[in-house]
Order: sequence, then structure tokens, then C-alpha cells
Amino acid sequence: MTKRTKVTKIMVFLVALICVISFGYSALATSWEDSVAKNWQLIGPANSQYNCLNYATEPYRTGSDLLKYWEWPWGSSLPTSSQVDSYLNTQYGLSSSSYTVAASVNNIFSYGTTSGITHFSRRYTTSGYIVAKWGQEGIYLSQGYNPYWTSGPYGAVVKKYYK
Amino acid sequence: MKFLAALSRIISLILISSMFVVVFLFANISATQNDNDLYINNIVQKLNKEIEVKITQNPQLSYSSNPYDYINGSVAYEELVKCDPNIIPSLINKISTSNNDGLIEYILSIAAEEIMKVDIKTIENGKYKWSEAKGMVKSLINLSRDMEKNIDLITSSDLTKEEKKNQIDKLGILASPYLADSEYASTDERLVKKCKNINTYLCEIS
Repeated sequence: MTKRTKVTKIMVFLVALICVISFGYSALATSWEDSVAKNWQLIGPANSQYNCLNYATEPYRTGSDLLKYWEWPWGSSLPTSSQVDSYLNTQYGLSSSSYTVAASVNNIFSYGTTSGITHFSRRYTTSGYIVAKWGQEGIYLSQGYNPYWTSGPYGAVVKKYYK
Repeated sequence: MKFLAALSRIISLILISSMFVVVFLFANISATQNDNDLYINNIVQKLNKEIEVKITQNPQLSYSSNPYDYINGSVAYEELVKCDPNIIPSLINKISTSNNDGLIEYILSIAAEEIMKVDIKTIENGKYKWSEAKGMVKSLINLSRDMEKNIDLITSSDLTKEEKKNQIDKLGILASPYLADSEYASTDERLVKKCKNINTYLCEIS
């Protein structure tokens, strides 16, 4: 084998190796969203002016309360499901239900555990879908009312809220 | 005649001197207020930068809706809450005049409460509850307005002395001007004066 042939073969091998590694990485790599939800589609931009609770309760605000704001009526600890029941009832006149399989448009869902609610979403105009503001990230559309990984920051659906 | 001329000269001198004193004092007060405003703007920049860095290190933080998650271990926040209560009017002004009512404004509200040593949401079973930053300002104004009445209710109640002190402590440092003649009076006269100024400011903006 000539020296030139050897060098060519080594170059081809290296290029092939790089291609395999890149393909393998792109196939295995996931975005941070994938660690949050089983499925998701970004439909609104990120900003820190409002959070998931404010976005979820938006259909229930009227008059001068329509503004977007970072809504958090509790202290430093996550609220219990009972505290959420009380707030959504007092503030927006919403009732709660543990039946989360079906929902009407704009019904709100809470996520986490009964001792620590982490997140809120609301039913999208299309049945079977929810929309939610992910903290100070964007607005995400997901299929199903229980689309978040239990190992992720939000957890399983806890309750549904309706008027 | 000569006496009148001399008298008028003395009066003019006194009036001109007084004007200089007033202008000087006003300039000092304005400078202090501007310094506080600049300081808060600086702190807001630091807070934003810190949050940016934290999210880079832990992207899942940005998915949280709990505003308290964003101040864990925050150097800028810890610096802010160590400020003198004189900063309160500037903090309130920053929140009130902001075009936004978002995460940063909420963090400033938490800081204002911490400086005033009060947790407004928990007073009187949620009578002054708030859920967003501009709501905190409204609740604080109401709390300040009701302060004297609330103190009267506590001191005239059947609670023990210790229970009364606990209840009064929950009202924060803004209660101190109303406790001057009582057994719960603060020994820090400068703090009492500062709080009196804050209460006056809150009354003016209400």
C-alpha cells in the first residue's frame, strides 16, 4: 500500500467516525422540554412578566384585572392542593374536581402532589389539549391533560377547576 | 430711619439665608432619593444577571412559577434586604411606576416586606393578602392606614402581654411610630422616625 493510499484511508475513516458520532449524538440528545413533558409544542414566547397561574386563570379575569402579572398568592413553599382550592374559589369562583379525564375549554388543571402544587395549565380550544406558560419560559401546547413526566419539575395532574 | 433701614437689611439677610438652607436641604433629600433610585436600578440589573446565570447552570429553574425559587442563594437579594428602611419609598416607587408587574417586581415586593420585617399576606387571616407586586403596594398602603387601629385592637384585647407583643411584631417596623407611648415602644428613635416618614409617604401615594 502506498503512503498516499494509507493517508487517504485514514482520512476517510476519521470522517466516517465523525459522521457516526454526530448522527448518534443528534439521535440521542433531547431538549430540556423533553425532560418536562411527554409531548410539547412551543406556541408563545418566553417572558418573565407572567407565570403559569396567571396564564391559566386569564379567561376568568374581567375588567381591569385582565393584565398579565406574576401571580403567586402564597409564600415561599409550594401551596397544598387545599390552598389552591381556596384561592381559585375565592379569587375566581372556581370549583374543584378530582375527575381529570375530561374537561371543558378553559378548565384549569393543577399539577404536582396534593402537598405541593407546582404548575397550572388550562384546556385548549381543541379537546384533549392543554396550554400552559412554563414559568418564565414560553407558552406550550401539549396533548393530553396529564402530559408532564412525574420525574420532571411539574409532575402528575392533581385536580381540575371549573366554573 | 437709619434703624428701619438696618432692620430691613437684617430681615433680608435672614430671609436669604433661610432660602439657602431650604435649597440645600432639598438638594440633599433629592440626592438621597436619587441615590436610592439608582441603587435599586443597579440591584435589578444584578438580579436579572444572577437569574440568567442560574438558568444557564440549571435550566429547569426557568420553568418554575414560584418567585421564591429565583432568590435562593441570590447575592443581590441578600444585599438588598440588608438595606436601611429609608430605601422603602424608592422600592415602592420602582414597583408602582414599572410598566411590568412581573417576576422582578415580585422579588422587589418580597424584599420590601423583609426590610420592613412583615409578612403582609399572613396578617389578620389574609385581610391584606396580595398575589402580585402592585397588589403588595396596595396592601401595604392599607396596612399602614389601618396600623393605629390594628394596634389599638391588639393592645385592648384579652391576649397576654407576650401574645400582644407577638401580634404587634407581626405588623412589622411600620408599627413603631404608633407605639411611642406604650410598653412596646422601640428604643431606636431613628428607626421610629424613618418609619414615620415611610408611613407618611404611603399615605401620600394612596
